Amino acid sequence: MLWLYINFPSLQLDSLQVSKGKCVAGQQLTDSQAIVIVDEHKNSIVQLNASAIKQGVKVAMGLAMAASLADELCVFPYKIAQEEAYLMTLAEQLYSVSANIALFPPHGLALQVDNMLKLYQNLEHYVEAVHSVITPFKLKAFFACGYSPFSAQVLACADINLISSEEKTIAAAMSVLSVEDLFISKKAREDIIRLGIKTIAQLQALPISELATRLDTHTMDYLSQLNGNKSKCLTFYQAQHFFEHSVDLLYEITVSDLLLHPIKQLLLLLEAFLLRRDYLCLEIKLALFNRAEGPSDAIQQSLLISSATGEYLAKQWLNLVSLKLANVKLDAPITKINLCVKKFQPNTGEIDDIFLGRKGQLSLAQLSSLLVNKLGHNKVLGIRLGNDHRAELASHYFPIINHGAINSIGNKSDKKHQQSKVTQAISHSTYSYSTCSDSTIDCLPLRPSFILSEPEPLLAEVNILSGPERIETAWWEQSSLKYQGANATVDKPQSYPRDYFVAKNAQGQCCWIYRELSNHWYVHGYFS
Amino acid sequence: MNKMLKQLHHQGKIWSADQIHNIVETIDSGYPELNKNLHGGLPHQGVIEVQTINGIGEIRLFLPYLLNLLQAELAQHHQARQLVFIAPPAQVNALMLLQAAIPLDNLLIISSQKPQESLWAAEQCLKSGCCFAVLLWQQLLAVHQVKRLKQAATTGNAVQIIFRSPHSVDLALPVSLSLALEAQSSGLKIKVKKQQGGWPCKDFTVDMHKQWPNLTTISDRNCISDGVLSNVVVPLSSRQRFKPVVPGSVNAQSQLN
Repeated sequence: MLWLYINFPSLQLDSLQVSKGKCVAGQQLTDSQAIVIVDEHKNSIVQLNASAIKQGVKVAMGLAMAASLADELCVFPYKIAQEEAYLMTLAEQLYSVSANIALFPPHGLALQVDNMLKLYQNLEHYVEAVHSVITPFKLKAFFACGYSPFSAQVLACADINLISSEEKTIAAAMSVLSVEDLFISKKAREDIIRLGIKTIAQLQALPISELATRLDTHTMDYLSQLNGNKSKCLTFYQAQHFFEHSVDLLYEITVSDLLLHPIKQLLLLLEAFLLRRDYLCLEIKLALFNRAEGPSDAIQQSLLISSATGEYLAKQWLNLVSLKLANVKLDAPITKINLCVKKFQPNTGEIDDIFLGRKGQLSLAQLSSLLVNKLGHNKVLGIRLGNDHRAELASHYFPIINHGAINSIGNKSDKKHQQSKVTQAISHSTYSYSTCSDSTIDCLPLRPSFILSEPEPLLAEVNILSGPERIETAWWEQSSLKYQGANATVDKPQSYPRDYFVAKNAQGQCCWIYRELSNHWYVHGYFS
Repeated sequence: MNKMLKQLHHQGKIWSADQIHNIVETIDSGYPELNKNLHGGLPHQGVIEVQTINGIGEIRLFLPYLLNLLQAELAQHHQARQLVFIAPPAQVNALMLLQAAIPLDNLLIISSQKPQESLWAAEQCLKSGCCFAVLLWQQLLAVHQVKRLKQAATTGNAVQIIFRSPHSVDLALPVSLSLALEAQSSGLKIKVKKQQGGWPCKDFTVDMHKQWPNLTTISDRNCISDGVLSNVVVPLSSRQRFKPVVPGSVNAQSQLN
């Protein structure tokens, strides 16, 4: 079986530089800045960029040595989890061109080639397709073929680019490599060298039974896998059902506008993810991590951005994100951004009338998601009838985009009423315009256009135009109030019955006033 | 001189009287008095400024007009766009809207508190092309803000109605129409402060008794001038001194004579 192994020797460094490239260049870092990634446990440099090499820094050098060689060295700790996460991103992208992807964390991938050749005709076409996926990430990578994943790995990790399906070529390339390049334990390596064996060719010339007496089973297993005689169970990449990606920033961002650049990258990934599955998403969650002070990697701020229509386009989401970010105050510099989407819906396609066309740039749902993200869920409202005869309950607002968490915090007053009414109102909302014929409209009682949320005491002199109209309490609520006893008084029940009048005051305003049984007068609304 | 005139004309700084008919497209306002004085009705799109105190019938004045817009849309496209209320002074009542035959599904209410947010929302709504009218309650307006709203209204083929309190700082705002309303027992007294493509006209009264019999009294020609003043108790002798101050009263009497 032919395998293609891709080795990314400086995955963490390259992933950091991708984020830099898109950010407004050179705030603190220019291209000439030397960047190194240091393994904290071994105190040795594992990855470094070109400008660091120019200044004489080398891999496996100590940090102190490197610091003395290069001025203004930019140091990042080596994070294996970060590399593995990025490797998964790459695997996800490669999954679109190749079926079997074996993961070799932290920075390698093996693709099974032979079963893909039916699709791609020959190896060159296949490798071209793989390249086209990898190139946009601007990573340093080595591609090597082999008749077992391990032989390909040995080649790629020895920094050899070898694209060939010929066994002889591969064997020739393998044979010159030293045993140092094999992935075996240090002890086994020493054993082999002590035998006087320096290259892989020498090792392969010996009969297996001879070697077995000198080497442990682990090494023997590995050697037989290297030759392709034995296959080991590999961990293959499996496509995930949700989207989660992060971007680590090369430097801290304090201005929310600058955050949009790395966020755009994430959204483009999301777009590719959604497009491939023909999905839309209604909500995305952005988590902004700040500099790990105190509890490490505590989520600094979490933003929930929602859209009324499902969207997949990065452009649309970026628009909504920028609106949301405009209202967000960053408390601390941001070092990492995470985008997580868990819920999707299939893209059913919007049906637009071909003859009417679309007049404006936006659909209603797009407009409302625009407004909601800028102003907040509780400020963009629709209106509907309540199933009640009392004026303050007869009509109420509801958020256009229903958002569970926000909704429950929702209105401060009448909360209790609202919640009990909402369920009724949903069933009742059919009694809106559609069922109201002209005759029923005429029968509707005269009601003001504006209702005051808190009735105000009537202070000025008025002329009464019409009335009275008596409105009583709903008996079921009165009984429930009685039942609750002391608790109910806390809720400040509105006193009923009331006699309502239409009146005009000195300024000519048409007021809707009422008199309680106690003979107190209040203004409840205006006929604007 | 001729060159200069040409240049000014080219820049659109000179308005010639023959442009009057194609400047403003109007639609029936539902009130014959208003139609007569505004050359056929209220504008189809653009920005309308209304200086009024709340609760004297300023929404009632525009309800038939909004309904006409809505029905025109229904007739044309079989679907209506949205009517948006931005920062209304109190909670809008669904029953009133039903009475006016405006379907509740076509309503969007934005209860923003900050003037900047309100203006932003108004512009977005107008521009989106999915709203046919935006009602905005906003006190302070700058020239550039009105210009932006006007531009947005043209883009989205919508109308923007702005309600402001009377005697607001009176800049020459680039609105399509500016009205000042005053309460009357039979309806509203309207002063046209600015009208694009129209000649200045005298103040007139809109009779709302037909539409709203319970809120108005039958118009009586003799008491046209009363309105606000009738509620103030003024000695008879000084009342006579008041008369010349109110131009409407003089006109009304001369018409009767």
